[in-house]
Amino acid sequence: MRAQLGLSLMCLAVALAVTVSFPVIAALVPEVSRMTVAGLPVTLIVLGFAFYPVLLAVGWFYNRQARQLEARFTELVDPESRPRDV
Amino acid sequence: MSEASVGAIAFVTLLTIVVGTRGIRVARTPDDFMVAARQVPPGLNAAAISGEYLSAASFLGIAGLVVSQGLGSLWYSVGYTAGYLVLLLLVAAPLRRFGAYTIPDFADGRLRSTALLRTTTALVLVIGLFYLLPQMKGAGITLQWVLGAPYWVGVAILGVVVSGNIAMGGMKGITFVQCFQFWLKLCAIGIPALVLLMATGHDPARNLAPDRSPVFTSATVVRMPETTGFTLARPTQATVTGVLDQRRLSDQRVDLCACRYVADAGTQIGFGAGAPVPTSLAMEQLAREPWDAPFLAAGTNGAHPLIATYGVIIATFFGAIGLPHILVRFYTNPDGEAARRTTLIVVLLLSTFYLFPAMLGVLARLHAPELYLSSDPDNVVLALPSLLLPGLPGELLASLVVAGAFAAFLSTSSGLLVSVAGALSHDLMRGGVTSFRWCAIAAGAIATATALLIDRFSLALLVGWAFAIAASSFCPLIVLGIWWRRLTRVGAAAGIVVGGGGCLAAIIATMVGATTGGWGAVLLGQPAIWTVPLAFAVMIVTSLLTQRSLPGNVEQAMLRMHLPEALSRKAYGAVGPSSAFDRASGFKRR
Repeated sequence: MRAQLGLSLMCLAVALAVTVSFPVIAALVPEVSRMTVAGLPVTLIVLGFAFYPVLLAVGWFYNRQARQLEARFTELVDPESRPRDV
Repeated sequence: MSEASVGAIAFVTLLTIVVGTRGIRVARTPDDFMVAARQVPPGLNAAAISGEYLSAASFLGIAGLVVSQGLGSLWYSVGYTAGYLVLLLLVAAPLRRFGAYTIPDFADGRLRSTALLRTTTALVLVIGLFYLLPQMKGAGITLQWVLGAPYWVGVAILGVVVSGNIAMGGMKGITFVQCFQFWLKLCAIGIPALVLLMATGHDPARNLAPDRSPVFTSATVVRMPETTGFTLARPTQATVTGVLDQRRLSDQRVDLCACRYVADAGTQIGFGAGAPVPTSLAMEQLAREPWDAPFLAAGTNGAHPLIATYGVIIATFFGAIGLPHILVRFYTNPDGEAARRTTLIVVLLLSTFYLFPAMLGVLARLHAPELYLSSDPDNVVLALPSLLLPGLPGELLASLVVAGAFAAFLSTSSGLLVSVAGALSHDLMRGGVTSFRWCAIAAGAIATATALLIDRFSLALLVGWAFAIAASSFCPLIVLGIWWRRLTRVGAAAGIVVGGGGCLAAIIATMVGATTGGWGAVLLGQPAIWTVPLAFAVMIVTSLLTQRSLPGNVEQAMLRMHLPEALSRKAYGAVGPSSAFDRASGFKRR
């Protein structure tokens, strides 16, 4: 459980760090929000498209790690009931 | 053009009712619901969850806010999606294993306290009501737009359809309806967005370049829906019919300077191609930040946009955990591992959906900037197809959008009303089918009546407030309940009352207009920034002070939530993956 919580908090920290830092950066360096990439404002690219793959990647990584943690724990406690798909 | 739209509304509504009422025979209790759902694969289940989740705020509200207040509004769509990631990381699997159907159930099962059960039930009602209001408003403005009917007509129709349908027993465990409604909503926003993108030959650099106020790309006649004050960025000429600055004009060419004007309701102003788009005074006051800055000032009169943005981020990221209608959907998963997989697919589906409101908002800002002169930008998604694509194609797209919008109102408000009526009848009264029916009708009536008063608030803002209350009451309860052994019932109750109550008070103060600007407006308009940390702090400190009232079943509850299925099956025997903690541990509530 402690390991699960650690994993959850780490993934949460990564996701928050990526998303939450954007407004601070934009506030400290106003030029950031004035930049354009291929004619589109940076804000649109970041908020409209770029954050979603980040969220998905964190979620995917978490699911994989959580499954492995549980499998390892199961094996430690009771090797017989090890799930077959891991 | 309205025939096709009316047909679309009728189709979606009838389909929901027919499938919903047929479903009673197969699904009457939550247990049936769960048994029936045991075969539901994660993909289908995820679509059903997303179908219930995507409401009027997502479908209409976000694009409207993008047009009127800028790209910072996209924080709402990012936050609504990230809410599910946070749910995945912190609660999905343990909550599924615990086996409570509602938040009051969870509070009672984990902490064994009737007082806490009552408190949480009351908050389910508050959050449910706040979330129902924008759905009602959405129906009101949609029918207003389609039929020209008064605002209350749509509100009343949705209220009657939804509460009647639920009172008759529909919408319980209708995974397929919710799933269908998700794909309908995705198509209804995705197809128009892509078609309009192609039809307008998207050239973003033209108008979105920073520091340039938008210009009309072709000659456009703007009709003021109500008396509107506006400013122009530079002098231009226009043809005016109606009353401008108290001068009555009929089809006269006038020179306009770069200054303020007031046009009476119904005035038509024809601008030539290349003329600057006027900015309404109300919008100007709201949006002090540039349109393309990543800040959000909804609900705060434009004060301290950075703080307001973080308020929205905290509310939406942590609010999804505490929404009353989301929890029950997790029991359609066979086990904790499947719950995690389903949640990840939900994040994927939501990410896909939210690409399109952003696209429509930007298109509207680019090509139909007159839309943000109108006092209610929540109409943008409805109005855009026929504005940009005249003739039959535009009409068909518009009906598709209307169908999707109605699917959004119906699915979310049905899910909410089931949770609210369930909480009322199951946790506060004696329970039973008859009391559930009356509770559904009463809750529907209250929501309908309240919705008539709130039409001036933006959809996304209202839903954001529901998230803020959930984040500052149920989120700490569930997160600490799952991960912290030393949580006590006194601590939980104190945190919920202080956090949720403070948040609700702040929002009501904003709604009645108690603040005008500055720090007060930010801290009351987007209260999550202080109420969420406060709720956590109060819950932890009070729990540490009241360790003597620690419930006796902590270890068992923790074991049930955190033990992988492979082990728990062995420990508890093959009772099936869905046994609730109450039943498994032999405790009975009353």
